Amino acid sequence: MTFHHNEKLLLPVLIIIFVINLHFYQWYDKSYVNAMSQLNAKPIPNRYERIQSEQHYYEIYQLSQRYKGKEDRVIFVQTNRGEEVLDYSSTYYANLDKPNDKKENIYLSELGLFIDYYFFPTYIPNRTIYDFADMKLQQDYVIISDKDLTIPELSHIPNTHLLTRVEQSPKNDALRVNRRPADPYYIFTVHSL
Amino acid sequence: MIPIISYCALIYMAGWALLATCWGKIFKPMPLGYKLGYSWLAGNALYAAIFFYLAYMNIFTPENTTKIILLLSLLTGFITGWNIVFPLRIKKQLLQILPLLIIVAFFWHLIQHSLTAYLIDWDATGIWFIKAKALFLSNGLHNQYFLQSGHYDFSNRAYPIGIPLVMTGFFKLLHFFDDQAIQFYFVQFFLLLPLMVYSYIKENFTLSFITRIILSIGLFITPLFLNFAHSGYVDLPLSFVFMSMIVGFTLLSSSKSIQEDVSFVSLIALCGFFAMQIKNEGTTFTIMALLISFAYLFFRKKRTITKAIFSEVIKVLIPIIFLIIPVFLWRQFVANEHIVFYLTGAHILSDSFSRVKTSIYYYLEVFLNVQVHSLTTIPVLFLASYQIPRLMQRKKLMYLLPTLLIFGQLCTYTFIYAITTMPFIVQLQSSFPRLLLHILPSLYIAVLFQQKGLEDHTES
Repeated sequence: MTFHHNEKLLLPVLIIIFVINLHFYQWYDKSYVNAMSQLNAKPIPNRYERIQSEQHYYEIYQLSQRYKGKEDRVIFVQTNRGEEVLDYSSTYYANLDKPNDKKENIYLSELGLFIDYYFFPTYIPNRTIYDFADMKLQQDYVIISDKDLTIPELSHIPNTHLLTRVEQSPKNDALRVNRRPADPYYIFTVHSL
Repeated sequence: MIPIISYCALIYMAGWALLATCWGKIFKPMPLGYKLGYSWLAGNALYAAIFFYLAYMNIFTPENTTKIILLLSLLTGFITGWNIVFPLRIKKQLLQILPLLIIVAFFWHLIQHSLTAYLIDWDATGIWFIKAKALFLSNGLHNQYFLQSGHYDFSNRAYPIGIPLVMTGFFKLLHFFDDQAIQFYFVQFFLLLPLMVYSYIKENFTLSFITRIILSIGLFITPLFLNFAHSGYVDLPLSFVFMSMIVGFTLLSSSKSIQEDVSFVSLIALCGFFAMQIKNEGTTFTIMALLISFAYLFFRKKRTITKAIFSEVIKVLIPIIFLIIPVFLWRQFVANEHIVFYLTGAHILSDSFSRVKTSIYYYLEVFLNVQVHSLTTIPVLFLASYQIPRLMQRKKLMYLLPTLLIFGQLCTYTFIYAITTMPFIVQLQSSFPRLLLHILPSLYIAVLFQQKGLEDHTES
């Protein structure tokens, strides 16, 4: 191998920079290997389901399959109406033609996004806790929420006493390499009325 | 795994055949890295255009998709096979495969991860994959619930649909919405980045194999590139298209005849028309790239126009028209359906100037962040700061044209931030790292091109 005269100076510098950059890449590489080893250990033969079962919103995906054609029985309650979940795009588009006194905010959390995505083409409305309190629940309804609605602090809200929380599978999130941890969500069924 | 690998192979094959047929004069002498890169781009452009026509006519059904792909693959398979096998240059091609093998081996775990990852990221899910799902569940654009319903405003329905269309082609072929396997499609754009850079260095500098490979891989093992390698965002595909256009311009600068000029400019246009189908940012970049290319041809030493130019123009004109029409049809469709885009009606605001200042400070903060770029952008900045004045001093302005194009693109981003109707700071902080991703690989090539300009001067 022959080196150009300038290359004798260039190559050591490049090697040093490469080794520094490699330090970052090795972390990713280890994370990929770790994620795949955990995935391969799962005894689910269907590749799509095996990978999907690692997804933080796997239960939402399962509900979208189970409630196909009966989406009107799925209720989504988003209690968080803070700045961090304000959907600027939707709010802008929704208020384009509205006068100032009628403008409304549209909220979209990551949970809401995945509900929209998995249940598409059916739209599951994003309801407030007050909407939920006014609803007439039926026994085969399923409720998805960003907050545990069965905690004693919310017991004064109508309908919450009818809910039974569904046990969810633990998530290890190994495949979410260098992503922020996802927020928890809760699923409830309606017990005997 | 096999279906998605085959689907990607068909895209490469279609692009290879298109380029070998219509751009044969410049395509055949290209190194393998360029051939693969441009084939991938041309294949994507061709698939996106065909699927767009199907969707526009509301006949984008699984049956039609299968028939079209089968027919196209038979045709392109024959042309590609003829071009690769018939010249019996297999030994030469095999030698060129070595850097490709090293790049694949180096990123092996990343490739495996792309084949085993579920959908995570916000925009990927909320903009691109939900669009692909809407296209998968319908037969086209007309009377589509997704495009008419206000419930999915978060997906910015007016955005171009080139990549969702190519994704949907795979889903229709499979009869299943496999949002995991398709990530292997996205990782192609990432893998082709170091390969193109490798080829660029090999073609333009007398550096050893080890230096070329270290430099080309080293530039892309930073958190920014790795996070977007197969996330489902279309920013990395766009950045690959931009880089290919810059490489196209560098090839144009060393073209030897007027026929080659026509071929290179039309190749830049082909890449640009696909960029326009990926994201709106592609439109400004394409217009500027074509303007700069024409300006370069205009001011360069004149060449005699021969009759041969007409056959070259006719050869590239048909595919170019075929690829540009979907861009206009989509714009017309968006207007007819009254799909609003957030910049419609945006204008200069009272705080626009202060927004520009804030944007520039933020650009520098992101550009120099070693946690995002590791040690890549800082040396590039040093090199550019040294090379730009030297080239200006030596009046080698042609070597600064790609840099000017990148600067122009950055100016359009700044202008958008200055007039945006969205909350400015939120948009700036959430989008700029991705926008920087669009232009970084192009900047690497532009800085290498500057260096070539200095070397050319020294030699002359």
